Amino acid sequence: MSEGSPSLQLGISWILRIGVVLSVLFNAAGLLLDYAQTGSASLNLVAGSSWNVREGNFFDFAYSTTRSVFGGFTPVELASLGIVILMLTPYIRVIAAVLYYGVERDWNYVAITFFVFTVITLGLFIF
Amino acid sequence: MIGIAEALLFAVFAGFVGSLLGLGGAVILTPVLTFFGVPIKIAIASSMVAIIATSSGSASSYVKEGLSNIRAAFYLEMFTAVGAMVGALITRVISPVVLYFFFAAFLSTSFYGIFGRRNREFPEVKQDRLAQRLKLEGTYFDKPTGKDVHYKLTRPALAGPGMFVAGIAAGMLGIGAGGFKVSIHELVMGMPSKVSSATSNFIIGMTALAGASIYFTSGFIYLNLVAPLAIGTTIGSMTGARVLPGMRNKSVKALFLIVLAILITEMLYQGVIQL
Repeated sequence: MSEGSPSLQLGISWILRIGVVLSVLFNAAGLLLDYAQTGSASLNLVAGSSWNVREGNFFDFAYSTTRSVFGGFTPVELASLGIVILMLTPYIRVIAAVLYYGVERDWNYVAITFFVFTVITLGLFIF
Repeated sequence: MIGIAEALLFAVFAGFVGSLLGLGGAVILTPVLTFFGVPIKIAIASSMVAIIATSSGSASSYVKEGLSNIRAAFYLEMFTAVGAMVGALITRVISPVVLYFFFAAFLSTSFYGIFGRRNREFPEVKQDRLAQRLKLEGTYFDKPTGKDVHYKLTRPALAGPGMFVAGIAAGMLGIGAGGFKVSIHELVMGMPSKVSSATSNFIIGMTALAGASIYFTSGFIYLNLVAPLAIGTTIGSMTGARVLPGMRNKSVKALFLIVLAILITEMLYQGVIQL
């Protein structure tokens, strides 16, 4: 039997592709807007600056990014959105796999993918 | 300090090599960034996020072409994900110095094993019962030979604990641990090299995601560094994903051995300077 089915492969492939393309667009927009505003492309790593993320766990970061986006786009917010979308791509691929194996009634793999989903979710919350 | 454009260019290279070999590219990015004056913790944290881009960028092609073995990927990720969490927790107790030597030894064993198989294009595998139950096999179209290759995997019961160790390495050292994963795929399960790279790329994004989260809390994430790195590794990995299907397994192995040698040196160097 061929590994996986074409529908799972295509589905996951599209999720990943859309995710990375959106992520690149938002990241690039953030950097370009910053360059347009400051005229500088040098890298300043200043602790506590607006580029420095100190948001608690990933879900806090994703939540505050999503909220702040409604107030208009700044370079930092665009880049934040790019990173949030990027980090969601592996997460969504696990969820897609759980659902797919559920529909296929392949219970071994429903259990396996659900276990992975649980561990990653815990990891995102705990740290 | 390095500029944003240079960071992006290095990331393109890291993403390209990473996508060919099933590595996230942190093995290249972290030392390059630290060389140019980025503090080590920030370099590790940024590379961790960049790994996710390498993984998603290349896996989007590999999955579509059937080169990633999704079942094997999720089966192994169970162990790696738990290992990564355990690793992240025990770094607070055990000094990483010991680990650098331990992992250098582990990788040297892999180097020896893969070196011995460097001329084997398609591994011959007799599947055990658990691998059959887990349906660990697959077919991919091999461009260089122009035919469909059917392969079977074996010994998942041994590969699981091996991946747990890879996960610990990822959690403790802040790496995607692709080098460990690819070694286990090939040496324990008998995976063809290209499938191994593609499957590892599919997994490392998930392992890195769990690992990257810790750095958000600790304030080592700087978006003006992470954003160009993510753009770069995405571009590099999507390009690499177009190249890998046309390569021979032997060439992938040869390239992997070179990077493995660099990785071993890096681990020993880190271990020695921290003694």
